[in-house]
Amino acid sequence: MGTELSLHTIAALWNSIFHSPDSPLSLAIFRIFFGLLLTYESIGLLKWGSDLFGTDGLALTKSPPMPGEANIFSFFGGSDSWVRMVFVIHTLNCVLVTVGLFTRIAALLIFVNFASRMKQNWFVIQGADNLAKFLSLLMIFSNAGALLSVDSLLHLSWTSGASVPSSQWAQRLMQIQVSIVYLRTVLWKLKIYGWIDGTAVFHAIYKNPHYRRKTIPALMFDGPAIALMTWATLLAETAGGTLLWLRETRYLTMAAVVGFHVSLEVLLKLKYFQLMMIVCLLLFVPSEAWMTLWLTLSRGTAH
Amino acid sequence: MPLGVVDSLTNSLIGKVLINIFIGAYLVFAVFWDSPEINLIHKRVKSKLASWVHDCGLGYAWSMYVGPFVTITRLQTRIIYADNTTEIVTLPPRFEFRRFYFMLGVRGSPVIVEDFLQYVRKQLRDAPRQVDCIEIVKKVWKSPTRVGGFWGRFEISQDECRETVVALWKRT
Repeated sequence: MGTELSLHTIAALWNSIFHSPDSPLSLAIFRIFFGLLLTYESIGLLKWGSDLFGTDGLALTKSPPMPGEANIFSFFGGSDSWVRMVFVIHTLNCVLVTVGLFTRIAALLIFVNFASRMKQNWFVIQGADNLAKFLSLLMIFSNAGALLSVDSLLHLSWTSGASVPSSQWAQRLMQIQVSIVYLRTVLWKLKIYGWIDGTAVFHAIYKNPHYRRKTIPALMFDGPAIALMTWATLLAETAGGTLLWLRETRYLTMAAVVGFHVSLEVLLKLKYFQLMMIVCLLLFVPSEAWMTLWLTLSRGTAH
Repeated sequence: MPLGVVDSLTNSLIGKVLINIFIGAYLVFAVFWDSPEINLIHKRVKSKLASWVHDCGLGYAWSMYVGPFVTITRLQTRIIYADNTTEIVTLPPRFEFRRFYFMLGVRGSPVIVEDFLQYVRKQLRDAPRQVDCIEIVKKVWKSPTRVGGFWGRFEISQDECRETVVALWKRT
């Protein structure tokens, strides 16, 4: 007698993945770090935003947009002062997400900003911008602002969601999104021979405009060392997409993935990509783990 | 306390159905949009949805540092002043400018390169010296190879590149 698969079994599995009641604490902690990171990124753009997204700057769309092409930067003719204003508003929204005030509305406006950047000048968009775009989209539907937030202090549940354990489907989608980022990049890499024969990391660094140093150290010309780094990259990214889901391997994988991103940060200046990926790992820390940590710390303080 | 639309949805059957449809649609988009086209249907669906995805600003790609690594293409913008001195333009030291310059070299159409030339001109409007000429040069190197197999080393014997002027402005 084999196990029979029925629609009921599939529905039960789906519900246990997406709709099991859980505390929003983990998501609330992620929200704070996510908001802080976006605030830091946005402050940097206050000065250069009009150069990058203004029609007098490097924006790829110079002519007035057709109805489908409109985006938040193209209003008022995409003037420098308007683009600057857009980034002031964006910075404010990032702060609101961090402190959890009008969380869902702020998340919606952050999403609109990132989606508009993509339309206005996709040449300057990187992976972290795209990830921030999708995470802020999902945050609109989440109860990320239900705990550790001003919304919860003011009892604004319509903009923060319920603080009691409830379906955390939005957080589950965020986790899946992060896994997809890791696994998809591995699948693309496996199509290129340089990643198979262990030479890709050298090519990724050589004459890279984002490389931090003036010269490449001698070790980086060494065949076996580069092969090791190339395959370790594939291994770390595969682990990031899979082993974070398992309770037994979660924290070890997190440590390895953090190490991987830190080593990339040492080599390359990629704005906030590495930090974004590290912050996303927080999505995989269960709320009970945070509660246990809190209780341990408070007991320690009491003694 | 008044609950928001999202919370009200989770408490009704129709709301739960809508949420599950959204989850399903999100998963399909997240898995298949940036995947190699597996067949003609996949290709057709993607091309049909492309303009809608672009209009919503939902485009994305996760092929970071994938390659291929056959050639290296970079741009260089040179200014020639009236006193016959030459200067290489450096953009502000921010990721986005480096990324823009990189993408301009690899994916920039002639129109976008020309727009960039105009941007540089605007930036030089108040230059203390008179600008005679601005040229944007595309430099292409062959990627170095590993010599001696797995145990070998990467050797850069000749750092020669092929140069092509892709946009030019001259004072008349």
